[in-house]
Amino acid sequence: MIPSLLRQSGALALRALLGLAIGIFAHYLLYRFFLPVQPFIYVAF
Amino acid sequence: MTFLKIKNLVFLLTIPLGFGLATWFGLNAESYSKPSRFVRFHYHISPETLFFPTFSMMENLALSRWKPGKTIVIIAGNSILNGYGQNETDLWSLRLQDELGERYAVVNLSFRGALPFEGGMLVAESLQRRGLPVVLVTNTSPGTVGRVAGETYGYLYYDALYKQRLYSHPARSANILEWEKTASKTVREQQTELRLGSLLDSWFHFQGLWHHISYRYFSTTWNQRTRLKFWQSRDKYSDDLPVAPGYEQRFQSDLSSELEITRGFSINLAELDAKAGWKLLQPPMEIAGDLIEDMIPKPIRARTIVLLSQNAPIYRSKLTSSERDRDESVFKGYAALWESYGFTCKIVGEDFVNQDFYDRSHLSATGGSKLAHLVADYVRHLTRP
Repeated sequence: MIPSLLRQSGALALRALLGLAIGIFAHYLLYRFFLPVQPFIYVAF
Repeated sequence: MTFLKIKNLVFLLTIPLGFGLATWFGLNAESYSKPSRFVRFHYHISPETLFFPTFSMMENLALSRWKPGKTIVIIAGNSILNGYGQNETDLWSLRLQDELGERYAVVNLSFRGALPFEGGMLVAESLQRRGLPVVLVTNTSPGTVGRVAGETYGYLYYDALYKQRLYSHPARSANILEWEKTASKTVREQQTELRLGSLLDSWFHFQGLWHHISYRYFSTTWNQRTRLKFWQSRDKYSDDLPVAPGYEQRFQSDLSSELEITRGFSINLAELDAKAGWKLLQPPMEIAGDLIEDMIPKPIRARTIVLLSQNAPIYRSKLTSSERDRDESVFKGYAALWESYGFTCKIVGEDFVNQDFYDRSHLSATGGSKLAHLVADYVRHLTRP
C-alpha cells in the first residue's frame, strides 16, 4: 500500500515538475523568439 | 477519476503555472535588475553581443544612484559619449561626476552607434514624468536627429511605450507610423515584430527575466565575441572597449576617407551664396526641425543639453578655407536650430587639440576630461535656481 502511494506521489511530482519546466521553457522561447539572430555590428567611423 | 487522468491533469495545470511563475519572476526582476558596478554599456552588456539591456534595467541604473536632493544627469548619445577610446577608469562621465559633486548623480546610458534620442532620452523622459529632477546630455552631428524607433536601439522605445513610461506625445507615434509606410517591406515587418514583442513583454516580462538571468547566472546566446565561453554570465566580463594608444599610433586610417567624412558633416547642408556666404539649405534643416518637434516632448527639451561634436583638428585643418567656413556656418546654424526648439545646444571639440582625440571623432582621456569640464558648466548653468 505505502510503496504504491509513494510511487503515485512520485509520478505526480514528476508530472508537476515536467509541466513547470515546460511552462518556464515556453517563457524562455518567447525571449529567444524576439531576440535578433545577428548581433549589432558597430563600426567606429 | 483514474490515476492516469489525475497525472495528466496535474501535468496540464502546471504548464501555465510554470509560465505564470516565470512571468512573476520577470515582473520582479524588472523592479531591481541592473548591471552591478556599472560605468557604461561595454560590449558584453550591449546588442553587439545579443544582450539588449531592457528599459527597466536602464531606469533602475539611474534610480539606484538617485536620492532626494540630487539631480540625475543622464548621458545618452553615441560612442563619443560612451567614451570609446577611453579606459573605463578614465571615462569622461566619471570625471563629470567628480566635477559636479554629490548634488548630482551621473549615469552614462549612451550606446555605440546610437541616435541622440534613442535609449537614454526615454529614461530621462520617464523619470521626469515621475517628477524626478533630470538633466539629459546627448550628442549628435549637424543635421542628424533620427527617430526614437527604427534603428538598433529602437526596441527601447517600444519597451518603454508599452510599459507606459513615456509622455503622451501623439506626434511621435504618428511620425513613426508615417515613416513606416514609406519603409521597405523588411523594415515594416521588423517594426511589427518589435511592437508585438514589446506588447507581449508588457504582459509576460520575459525580457526582464531572461536578461537578468543572462547577466547574473548564465547566458544562452552564442555570438562571435562570447563564443569561447558563451554560457558565462555577463557580469563576469570586464569592459574591453578600445583605448587610445600613444599619440604616434593614432590617426593611422586612410586620410582621404577621413577627410570625406569630415566634409560630409556640412557638404549637403549648406550652399554658397555669392552675397551672403554659406547659406543653410532648407530641406535638410526643415526635416531636422520637424523631427525634433515630433520626436521630443516639450517638457524634456528645457532639461536637455545637445552637444554637436566637432572632428579632430588634424582633419579640419586640412579642409580648404571655404570648407572650414561652411563647417562653421553649419555647426552654428544647427546649434541655433536646436536652441530655437527650447534645447541648450553647444558645439564641443572646436578648441580641443589633436592629443584630445583617439581618432577623427572619439576622445582620448584628456579630451574626455575637457569635455567633462565643459558639460559640468552647462549642467550647473541649466540647473541653477
